[in-house]
Amino acid sequence: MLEAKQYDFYSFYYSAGNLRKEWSNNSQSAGLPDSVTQMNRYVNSVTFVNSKGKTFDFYCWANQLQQVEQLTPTTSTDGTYTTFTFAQPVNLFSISGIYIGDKSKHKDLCTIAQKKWIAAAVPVLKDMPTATISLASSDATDKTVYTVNIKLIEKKTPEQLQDIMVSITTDGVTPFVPTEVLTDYATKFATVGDLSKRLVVTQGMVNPDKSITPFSFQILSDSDHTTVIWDSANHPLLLSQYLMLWGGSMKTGQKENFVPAFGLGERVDDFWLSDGIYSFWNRNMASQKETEMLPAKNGYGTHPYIAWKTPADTFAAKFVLNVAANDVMLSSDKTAGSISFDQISVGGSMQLFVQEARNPEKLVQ
Amino acid sequence: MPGVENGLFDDKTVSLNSTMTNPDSKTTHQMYNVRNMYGLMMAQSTHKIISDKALPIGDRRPLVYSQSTFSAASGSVSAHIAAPVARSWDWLRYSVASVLNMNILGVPMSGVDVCGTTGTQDAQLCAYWYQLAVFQPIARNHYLTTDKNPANEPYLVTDAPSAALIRTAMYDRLRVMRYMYTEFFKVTLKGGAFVKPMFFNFPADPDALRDVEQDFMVGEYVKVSPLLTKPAGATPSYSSYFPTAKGEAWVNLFNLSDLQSTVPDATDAKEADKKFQRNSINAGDHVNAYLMPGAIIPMQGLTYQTVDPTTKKTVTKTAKTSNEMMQQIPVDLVLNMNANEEARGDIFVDDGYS
Repeated sequence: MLEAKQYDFYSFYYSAGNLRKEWSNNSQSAGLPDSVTQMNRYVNSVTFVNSKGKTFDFYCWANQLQQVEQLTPTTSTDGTYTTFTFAQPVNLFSISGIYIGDKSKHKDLCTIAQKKWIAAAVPVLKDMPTATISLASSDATDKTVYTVNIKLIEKKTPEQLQDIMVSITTDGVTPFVPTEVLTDYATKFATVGDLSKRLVVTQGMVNPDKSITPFSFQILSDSDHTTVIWDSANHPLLLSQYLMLWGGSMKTGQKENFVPAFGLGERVDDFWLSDGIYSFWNRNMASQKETEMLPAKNGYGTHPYIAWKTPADTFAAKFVLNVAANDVMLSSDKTAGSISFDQISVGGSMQLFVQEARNPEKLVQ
Repeated sequence: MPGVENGLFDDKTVSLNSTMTNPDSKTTHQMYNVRNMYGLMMAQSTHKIISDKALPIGDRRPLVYSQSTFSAASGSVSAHIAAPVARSWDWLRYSVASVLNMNILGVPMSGVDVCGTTGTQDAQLCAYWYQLAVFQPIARNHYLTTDKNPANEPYLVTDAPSAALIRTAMYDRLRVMRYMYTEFFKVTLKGGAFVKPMFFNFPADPDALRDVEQDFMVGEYVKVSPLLTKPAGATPSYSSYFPTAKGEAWVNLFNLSDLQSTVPDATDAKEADKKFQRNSINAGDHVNAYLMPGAIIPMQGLTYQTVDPTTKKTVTKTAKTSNEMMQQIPVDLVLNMNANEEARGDIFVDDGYS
């Protein structure tokens, strides 16, 4: 849908008295003036909260050519916050930055009439882990030379883009930070996960119907390739046309470090999952039992996705793609640090997806 | 199937022998096998039809919402409404978990019926439900009309203090609408949750795992700490979690003088070891929502100046709709520096309909 959409997306970075705007979108509105896009791109004021004891003695804005224009804002404060309201709203489309700061702590960016950064010889980044570029201001009154350190991060996996880390300094002071502070993948991901090394398959067990479970398996954490995060041993595995039975243990912290699982929906009760049965069967109307007795389970949404915190301090999640009616039974053992997960399905096919991430936000993404 | 009431799959639904046809593949499926996907397929078809460029509304962005969803696939074509919900303080708290859940499950655009769907009316509960709904992705007032379920519209609330809280909450939602649009746009680009538990932002902090419903993040930068229990006195207070470094504070979005920080004193062993340190905050006229240190967000006022076409004079108008407000009123940037005196944030601007 975004291809046909008119929009702007701006990112702001504030440091050293410099509120910079980066324009980062590729929509059809890119480069078009307000009269065409009919978008409200105006900023009326900037409020610095928690500003007690802070001094602000320069205010201006710079256009995209770095031409600076002094602002004459109305200032209001109650001691804990300070608001600068501009005489005329500033158009985000036109500006590159708004400079508001304290001369005694930062370079007075408003005194430089025009800044055009001239790059010295730019080294070819290819095959170079780091590079240094010197930038000098063309303004005769400003002799400051900024040093730009660029670090090229090696590509670790096909998913990780070849990123560049940039830092800008002058005389040990950071006049402004670069547009994007990028994650250093090299230190965070020393090794690349290999599923085959993290999946341990062993022989099965006897099912309730006396059949033999074909196999059981363990999944190891990507953080150390040792910590077990999922273990299907001692849980039945039965796959037939109208009955599927399978399960395992989600491993988490023990005793006081025990953390319940979360996910599974739709439901209306506590966020953390308690022991019990969770049904996945869409119906037109939740029953009286479900709407008036607690905890209740609204029956409209089917989302068989469950997540938990692992003993390796990572977060893992399991998604079971099976559209038939099914029940999930949970029971937890705080002493052992495990949550037993068993699922009964009345048919269909089943696909199991297991994810692991250091941050639950990444897990969900 | 012990979880299905009475063990009857066809309880309150169509025959399991009935069939439905996938409009794309033209394949026919038995209800028994694909019942759980019915809502998803319905939403996909509806979304496809109303997105048709040949229609008069084809250039408008579609909004489809359903009570029946399946897996994260639903999130790309429809919102989810959790209903019915009972009018009680317990269900007010559960509604937070419900929205958190749907965000984790891949349907960030979700909500519950504000003020509840069924039960006796409670003006005070309804008022604080509206406060919670300021940051709920979908805020819909909806109820089942029966003798036991009186009408629930905010203008029917006769208790003056409760009516005032509701009015304030509705205006507050407009003031943060630009921020919510911006954060939803980021979710559209990158995936992830819009409303999320605190431990999503602070995964290494064990305190963030506690009382998940009481403190939750909306977008990247705002923490919401609503009143979720029936207030005992005139100025109800409750505890809230504020992880900060020295020299920085969370700032109340609707009262910028209200600063909150909790920094254990490292020189005091008892204080440094104290886990689960929290602040006591009061419920007030506005929902308690806090801007995190190191963040910049857009907010908006409610009035703007325009030229009256008849008198040709400049007049001040109050925005009546979120679209009018977003198109007419300039943005106010609110900036909360962190301990390093740095901050970052985003703003999304669009034409209001595409």
